[in-house]
Amino acid sequence: MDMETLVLRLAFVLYLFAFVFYTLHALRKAEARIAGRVVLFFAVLLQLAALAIRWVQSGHPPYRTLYESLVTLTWFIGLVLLVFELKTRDVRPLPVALFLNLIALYFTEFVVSPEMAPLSPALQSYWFFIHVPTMLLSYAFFTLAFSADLGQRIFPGSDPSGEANHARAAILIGLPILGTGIMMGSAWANEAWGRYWAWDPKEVWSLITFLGYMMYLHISIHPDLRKRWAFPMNAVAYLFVLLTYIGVNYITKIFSVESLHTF
Amino acid sequence: MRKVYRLFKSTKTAVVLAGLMLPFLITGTIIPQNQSEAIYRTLFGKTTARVLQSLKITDIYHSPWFLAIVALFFLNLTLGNLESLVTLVRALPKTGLRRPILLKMFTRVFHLFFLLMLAGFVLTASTKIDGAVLLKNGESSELRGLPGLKLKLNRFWIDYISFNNRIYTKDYFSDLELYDQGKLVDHRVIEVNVPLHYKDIWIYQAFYRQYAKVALVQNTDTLEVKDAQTGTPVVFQNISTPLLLDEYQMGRLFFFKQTQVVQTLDPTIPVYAMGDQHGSWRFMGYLTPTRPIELDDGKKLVLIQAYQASGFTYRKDVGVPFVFLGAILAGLFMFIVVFWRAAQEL
Repeated sequence: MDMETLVLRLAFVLYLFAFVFYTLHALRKAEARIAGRVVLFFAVLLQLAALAIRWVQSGHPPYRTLYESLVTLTWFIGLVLLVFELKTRDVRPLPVALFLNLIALYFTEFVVSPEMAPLSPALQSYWFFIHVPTMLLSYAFFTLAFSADLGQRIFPGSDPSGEANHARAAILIGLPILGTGIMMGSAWANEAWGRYWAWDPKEVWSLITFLGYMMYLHISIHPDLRKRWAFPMNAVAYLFVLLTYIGVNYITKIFSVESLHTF
Repeated sequence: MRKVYRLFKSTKTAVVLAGLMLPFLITGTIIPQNQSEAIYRTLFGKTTARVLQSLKITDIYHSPWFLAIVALFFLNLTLGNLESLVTLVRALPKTGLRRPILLKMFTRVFHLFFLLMLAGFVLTASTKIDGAVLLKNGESSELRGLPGLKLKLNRFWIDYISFNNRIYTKDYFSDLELYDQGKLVDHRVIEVNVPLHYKDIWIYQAFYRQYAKVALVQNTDTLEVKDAQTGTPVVFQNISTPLLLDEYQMGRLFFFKQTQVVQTLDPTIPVYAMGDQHGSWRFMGYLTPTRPIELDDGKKLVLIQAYQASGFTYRKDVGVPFVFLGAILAGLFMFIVVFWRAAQEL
């Protein structure tokens, strides 16, 4: 087993422990928050080490393939969760988000090929360095938003910060980051191919995701709409995120639609 | 009437219009767009293909239905935000420029910057000039739609990189000369992601094609060649002289009945063979002009000549600055507003 895999598997185990501790705390069955926080901190740190090893070995930032981008995305999710928990002390989103993270990490370990390759000519651009992580960071905030809404339903009444709408706050941060990521991708396409928008399936799905969260924010302004539609819209928009990130690969293959973004 | 107008410019209508866009956007990603009639007939059958085409579902993002929703969406955005902004500005002497008022004004302003992007989209759609040219070394071509401009390719080459004992393409390069009214105005090497920029025209290293003159030498036999991409069989009878497979695009597969499949990729990359249709690839050697490859049944594959052609796209689009200026300004104000709000709500 190479060093990167070993470190990543250790991080996986720590994420698993963090999930258990935070779930226990959210269920009010144990005062396990501090243990969860410490374990999550080291999981994030170890995963950062795995990413650094990969970066050094491959010679480029670790988000070229589905494997690499999943590892980076799960690291972003871990980091966002850690900052969120430290700031708000609300642990209810964490069991949900950590569960999603564990599924994603399981995929990187056993489903997706970890094969390394150098950057193809089209990816050799400074836009690659900033466009991809910006998109992944927005997905991390959307994971938090979905987990906040779902966690609130699974673990009711354990929010120490009152009735703050953490899902909306996470989307308020995630949406402009997503918009910036789309704009960067558009600027890159303009520089590489001479067109800033080509209706490529990945582009279209990122627009669908943007519109989904835009709808969520406008729904959340109205108290009557918010009560009934905010959570379903959040869930649908998160489904759009998953389809944009992973689903497009399959959509393009199943329906024989050409895309420049498939992994 | 006033009630209808108020409802139309509301955020609720914005949500409904955005929601109406979604099925159109999704449809365009599952039904191939702007393909030939033959492809739609193959995929969906004659009747369905005709229905899809008549309803403009095969070019859904330019269909009147989708464009009408987009137009209404932007109209809603303009009316709602402009009116609110005017009201806020008029009330300024009473309210003063306090933080909540400024936040509300910024919210309206970032929405209105999307109109600048819309102006860019309209300019692109109405004035953009673009095209593509494919040139071999030493060739030149006029750029259609841009009178007086001529592009000449001096040399095209590919750099390779070795990584974990495998060869990968590092980058594609073209040594180009650009002429305006017969006068040389630029001479440079471009590559992927590094285009040539002259006045408001951009020229991109977009694609390339490889060609080869390959001779298959054998005595007397019947040879069935099948182009694996198109599936078209070609039968050659009683071959007594070298067979010249002229100008075959490299990278295609040639299936030799009962013997092997030979894949010619690049003069610097090996030729692979397959014992049968379901077998695995086997390395046969490097095919170069001086080194033929012996095939299993005594035939020889000879590379007579390999050459490449470089493909360029070019573009003149005055809409681009509007799109990106609008996006940057909208994004900037949006960041200010949402972080302000998120900080309050977290």
